[in-house]
Amino acid sequence: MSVAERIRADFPILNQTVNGRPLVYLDNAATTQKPRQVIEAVARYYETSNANVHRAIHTLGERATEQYEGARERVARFVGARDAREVVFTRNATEALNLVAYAWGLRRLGPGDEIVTTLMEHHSNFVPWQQVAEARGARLRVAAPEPDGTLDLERLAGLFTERTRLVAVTHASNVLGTINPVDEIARRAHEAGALVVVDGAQSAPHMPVDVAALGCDFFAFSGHKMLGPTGIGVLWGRRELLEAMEPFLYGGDMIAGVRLEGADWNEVPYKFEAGTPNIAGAIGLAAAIDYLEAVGMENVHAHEQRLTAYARRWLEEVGGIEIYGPRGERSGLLSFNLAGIHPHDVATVLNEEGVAIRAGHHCAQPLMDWLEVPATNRASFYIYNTEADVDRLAAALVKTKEFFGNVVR
Amino acid sequence: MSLDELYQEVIMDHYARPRNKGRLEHPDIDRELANPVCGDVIRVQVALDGGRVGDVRFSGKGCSISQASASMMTELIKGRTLDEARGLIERFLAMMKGEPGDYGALRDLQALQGVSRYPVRIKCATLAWHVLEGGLPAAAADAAAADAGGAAAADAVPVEGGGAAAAADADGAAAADANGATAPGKRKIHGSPER
Repeated sequence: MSVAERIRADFPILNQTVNGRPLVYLDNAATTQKPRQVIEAVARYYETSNANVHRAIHTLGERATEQYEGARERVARFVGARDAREVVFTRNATEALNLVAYAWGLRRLGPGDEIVTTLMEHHSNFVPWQQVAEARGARLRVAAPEPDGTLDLERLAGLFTERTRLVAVTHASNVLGTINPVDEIARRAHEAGALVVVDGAQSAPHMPVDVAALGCDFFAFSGHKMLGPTGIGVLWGRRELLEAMEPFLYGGDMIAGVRLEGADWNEVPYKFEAGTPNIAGAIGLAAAIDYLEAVGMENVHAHEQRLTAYARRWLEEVGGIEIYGPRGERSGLLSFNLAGIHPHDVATVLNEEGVAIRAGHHCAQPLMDWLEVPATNRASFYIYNTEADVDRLAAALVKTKEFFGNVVR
Repeated sequence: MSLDELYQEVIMDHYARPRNKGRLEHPDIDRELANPVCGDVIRVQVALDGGRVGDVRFSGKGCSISQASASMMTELIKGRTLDEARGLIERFLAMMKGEPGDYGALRDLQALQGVSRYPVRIKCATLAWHVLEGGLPAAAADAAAADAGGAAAADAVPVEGGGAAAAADADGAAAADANGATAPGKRKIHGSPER
């Protein structure tokens, strides 16, 4: 058995047919499947340790707390955080980015301040800043990519002024596959006196990430895009920044003390985790990280590079397909359009062939407008995908072209 | 269900050769909606003629299902009274919900019946109908005031770099939505012309 086949065997969901064909799952940028090890970790927690965390004076409560905090330390090591207290558990990357928007942006930005972002952001790293800018009278400046889908560092940095307070940028584009030079962007942003928030939803699952090396101030990602459960995400933030920030949600667990006249906040990260958190989700995420690190993040990245290059060659071979985003190193996805055939029609035909891809605007409408398309197809790969999966994708695309061939204008 | 059943010949024919596609110069009803799932936009324009649909056009980009549905819709409602048009909309939406019944009145559009078994595609088929549906009551009340389109909404936030022009001022009020009205199904009506 090859490595990919051994990995595949850990994913029960992949062992099924869709419309009579073995499932080929190529929608990993939306969410990934879960290995048995993650499913079992979640089940084991509920079967052996379930209790509320942090204050219970009983054995299960201690066990749950230990596992939940253990998961936090696991996440901290995974992203190179110097301190587990810099890891805030959220629902997902979207909530993590909103946390920064609410707890930092709305409170620290004022009229005339500037936020710089890019046209390749997912809505979750665009709309919060649009809203903060509107609420605070700040100015949102948006950098477009180069024609090849990369960001030009000089052009981006050219937008930085003495009023720039925040730079919000994605580490890897969920449409173009572009991997942005976050370390360079952070250095330039810091020179301009701005903070840097990074959307890592499409990078943390696919390549080694070290927040210290990146030099950013906030880094957000989602568990479900990296083999973990849905409903668990992470905001990493520099501790001194988190400590100076006000809470985002109020309630239980986030307070140190409450009086009739007011309340004091718990220490970081707890002041950002009001209410009972997703304990099982955090534990599942830690199991997912264990799984990924056993494979090795460098290997994950290399595997996806190979598959993406293989898929690109196939798509070019099929012909009549426009592929978006840069050549060379990129994250493990390809967005494309078949000439004259709408992505919805493509995805429907592919689904009949048992091949799951995504068709739509990928929550990146400003980028769709820039590409001058209403939508694209997107095939995205992960550790369990093989060249055989790509072959099935290519065969299904050939069939799509044949099916629509006589009506394509 | 096979692909041939979903993509019946009449659907592919309307997709390849859409009827009544284009613009009217003086529409009484002019309305546009986006499908939030894919970002497709369809605009429907109606010119009234003594309480009937005198002329009708649709425009916009979309998949085969949405384009064919819009095309067949325009053919079906041309010459109908507004009440008849409302009745046909009701029948079509019922068919897309998979409700059993006689849909003979929908003629060629019955070919879209299979779409009701593809939940994610139903919105493709119903988009043009929701555009028309939202336009009709205003038309009945006051045809002259039914003009809902035309106002071009400029992007409030300029895009910088990438060869684009230099920045203009934009202070965050990035409302790309010109009239802000909400249509049935809580979709926004976009005031901007076709993209």
